Amino acid sequence: MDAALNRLRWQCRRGMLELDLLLTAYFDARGASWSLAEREQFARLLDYDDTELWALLNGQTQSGDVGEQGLVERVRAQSPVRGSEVSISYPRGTS
Amino acid sequence: MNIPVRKYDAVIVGAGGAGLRAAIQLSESGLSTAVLTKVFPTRSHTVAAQGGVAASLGNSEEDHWHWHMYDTVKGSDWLGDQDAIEFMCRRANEVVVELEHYGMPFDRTDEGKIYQRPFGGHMSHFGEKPVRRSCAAADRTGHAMLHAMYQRNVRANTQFLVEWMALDLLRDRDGRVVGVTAMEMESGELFVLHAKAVLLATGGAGRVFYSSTNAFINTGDGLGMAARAGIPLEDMEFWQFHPTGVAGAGVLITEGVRGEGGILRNASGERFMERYAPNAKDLASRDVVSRAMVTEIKEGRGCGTNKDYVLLDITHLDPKTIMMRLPGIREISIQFAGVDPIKDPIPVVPTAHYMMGGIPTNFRGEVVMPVNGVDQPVPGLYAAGECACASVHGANRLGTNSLLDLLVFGKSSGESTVEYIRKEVRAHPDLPHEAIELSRARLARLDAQRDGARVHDVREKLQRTMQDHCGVFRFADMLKQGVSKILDVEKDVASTEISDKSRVFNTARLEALELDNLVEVAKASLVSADGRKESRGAHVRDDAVDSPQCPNGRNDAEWLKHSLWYRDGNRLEYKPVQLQPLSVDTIELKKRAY
Repeated sequence: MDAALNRLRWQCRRGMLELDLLLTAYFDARGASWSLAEREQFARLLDYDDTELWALLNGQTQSGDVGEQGLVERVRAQSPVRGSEVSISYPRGTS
Repeated sequence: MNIPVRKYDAVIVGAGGAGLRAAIQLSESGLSTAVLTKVFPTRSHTVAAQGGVAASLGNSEEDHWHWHMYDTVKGSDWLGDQDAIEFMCRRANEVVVELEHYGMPFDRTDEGKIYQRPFGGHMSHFGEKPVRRSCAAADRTGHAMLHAMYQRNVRANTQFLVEWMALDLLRDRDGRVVGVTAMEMESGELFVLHAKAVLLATGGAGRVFYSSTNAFINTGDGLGMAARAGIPLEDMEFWQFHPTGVAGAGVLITEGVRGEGGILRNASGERFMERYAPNAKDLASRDVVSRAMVTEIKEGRGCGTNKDYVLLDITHLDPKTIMMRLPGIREISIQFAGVDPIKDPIPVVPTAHYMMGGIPTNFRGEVVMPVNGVDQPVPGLYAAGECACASVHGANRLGTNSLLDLLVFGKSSGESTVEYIRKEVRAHPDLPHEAIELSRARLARLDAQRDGARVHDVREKLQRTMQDHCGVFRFADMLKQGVSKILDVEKDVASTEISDKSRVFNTARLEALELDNLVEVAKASLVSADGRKESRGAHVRDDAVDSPQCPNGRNDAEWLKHSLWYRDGNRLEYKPVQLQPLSVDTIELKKRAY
């Protein structure tokens, strides 16, 4: 990964576990194939405070920006776990 | 190779609540203060604290610090040091009012005073009746605290080194701490931060468990640094668990779900709490519910392929009730368990939440260690918040005392640091080059390692060992095995390999360095838990049960003492609990019952 992308991955680390799980899962699934515009949009999402970001990602609030709300929906859809097999839900590290 | 050196009066490691509070004290005293932090300060784990901060302001009804002290001592199962507890409860009003002056938007009464809510374990008149003591800012108390204190620090010219990771303490031959080594993530470069004093405020280490409510950053960095520098870790067997974390993810499902009628079931669908608590059933206390869940799993009645979780069932509730009363929980369940609780039960396990132990300090926030049986400060080293053990939480923490802890001891450790720098240190002491070499060797080893273990695999082995062997309910034989397993894990930690050797924001390298800290916390926890042959507070053993001599399995005759784990020799020592408060009479030992 290049340095800018590496930085975004680190910034998926937050104060709340819920955000760590959602952001890291989404990044690991999609990050490598992002265009520059998509990267910038993700970087802007990471600029939110934790509580605001969590409100967006758990559906309590909606972004006024259509593009950003689309990203929020994609992160929400990329839940760190699917189905009842819970042992896969711990996010895999990068190493 | 020359390692660049930066000089400050003081370096604070960690910019959560404790670090920010301490930094205010230092910067407002005119000292040059650097606060280094892995993530932006307002994204520290303090943000996750919702419950509030305890202070006996008496705004809603009569309250007194002495009653708060009583609740805290009782909550600690008498393992808390009563001098530190008195200090904290007496200073609570002052630090809460200060925080208000920093701009903290506390909820208010109609008269404009700070509004106070009830919270479990908060009582008046020495345990007689519930009292409203918790001060909150809606459900964003931690978040609002971080913002208020960060702004105050900006005003005071605190220098933030954001996205930096501290590696090791620099301790000279006389035992003085004169700085830290640290990595700037943006360059991947190693720096020496040369200081007259260092204050550790690195928060908890919940990531040692497979199931934890803690954020990924909570890897016990300060504890690893202290342990490697020869400083013991205190009372590391005491971890607070929450009964219902989403299995695998750890995300908290609030107790309100059981309040609304949620039922815990095992693999055969049985409502097992009826056997453990015939009256309270699913609404029994946290400890009782957690232990029942673990017993079900241990006896083979858990669910899933590995039979390692139970189910929290609300499918019998009216979907409208779920949508109206528990919308957040439905969302969490769908996102982190892949289950819509309207249709299917939620997989849950008891989940590690808070570390009561830590780096030993006194109530002044000075890091202390015994010299010839008497606690002596480690010159130049201070600690506050969850990484420190003052000890106010003892064997179990009272709700809302964590935010109070970081305010009171953030402030007192800051005051002590200022005094030390002003009175004891004329100039920066010389740097100990062998200590710097340790950090360089750690990085060089990681870069050179071939055929090593993958960080992710080793971390998971560590977390599973802690979860299985050092969980909410402990078994003598499992603890013994756990100690031996974690020593195996330690060997793997020493040979971790990263495939990505790039320098800039290399998460793999950072995770390998964090693992060096996690393993110290895990060893300390397992060895201390194996060592303590009684049940007390959050440490509950199957071979130490309720008896007339030992109520709830607590054995004061032999075990009313703090554990001290030393990395060197992987050994334990013990030191007495401070039963003498500062100004009032000792709160005498009695059975802890609610």
